Amino acid sequence: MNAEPQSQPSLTGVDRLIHEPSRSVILAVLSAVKSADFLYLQRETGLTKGNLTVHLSKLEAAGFITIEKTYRGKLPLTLCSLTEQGKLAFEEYRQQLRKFVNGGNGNQ
Amino acid sequence: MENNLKASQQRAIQYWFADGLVELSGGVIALLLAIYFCVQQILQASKGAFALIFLSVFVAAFGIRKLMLWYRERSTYGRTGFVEPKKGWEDRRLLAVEVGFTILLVGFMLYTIVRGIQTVVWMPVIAGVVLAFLFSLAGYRTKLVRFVFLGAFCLLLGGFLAFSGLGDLWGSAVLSLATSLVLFAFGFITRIAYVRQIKVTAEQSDER
Repeated sequence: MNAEPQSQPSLTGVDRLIHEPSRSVILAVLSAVKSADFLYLQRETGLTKGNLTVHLSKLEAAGFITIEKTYRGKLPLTLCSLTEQGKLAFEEYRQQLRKFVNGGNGNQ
Repeated sequence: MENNLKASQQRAIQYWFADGLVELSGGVIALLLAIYFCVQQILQASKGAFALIFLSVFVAAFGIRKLMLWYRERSTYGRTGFVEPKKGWEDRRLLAVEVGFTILLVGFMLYTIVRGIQTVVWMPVIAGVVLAFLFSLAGYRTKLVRFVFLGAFCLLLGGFLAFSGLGDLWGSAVLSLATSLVLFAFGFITRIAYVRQIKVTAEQSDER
């Protein structure tokens, strides 16, 4: 009598490393630009220097971002940019998120 | 969550224009162009002299851009951070649009030259179309409405000036001057908003 239960999309399969709010914001910012520095990411995420360093290290260790210490004029810069692997992982994460929000059809 | 991510991406894309310095330096360049067209109209010098003046305007525009970047390094990057935007040609769709527009424009100019059609009186409207295209492209990429407005303004003013009977040089001078004034206005408003935002953020971090 009862209709078969439809397979509901779930968030169990998402990458936990990206699913953390601050890290997903970091990846979102880096996916929109070529690179961003530590100060900009700190302002955007609202994290303390220590917390941001930990998050960036985790993303770097996973191969999602690269961190380069450089200078712009006399200003020391810690530049972060998304790797190809990070780009793919973030795109997949967002697709999963959209699927979940839209109930499985994946459309926006 | 998805909206927050989109908003973060949008802010990062718009960051290049967040401090108002791009508009202010663009305003100075447009003002220089207006002066160049006025000088060309008023003085009856040789073509070589005008080429030299135009070259100096071009060099000055390059210098103004360098100066803007130098000032930005000291005022913006130290306060709110540095973001390197993606280049326009990295987006293949936009690159196709840019190439298509350039081909159309050059093709139109060549066609009029070959056919001997007098196009100098249309200089303001051609300049208006080029400016409208550039500003619309910036507006599309950044989703900043002020650039779309500026594009529409240049297009309408260029069209109006072409029919106003002012002539090509006066018309182009008026178009450049009006564009520079609008750019200055947008630049100042954006700059004031940016400085205020920094002050508020600094006060909030002091209270923590």
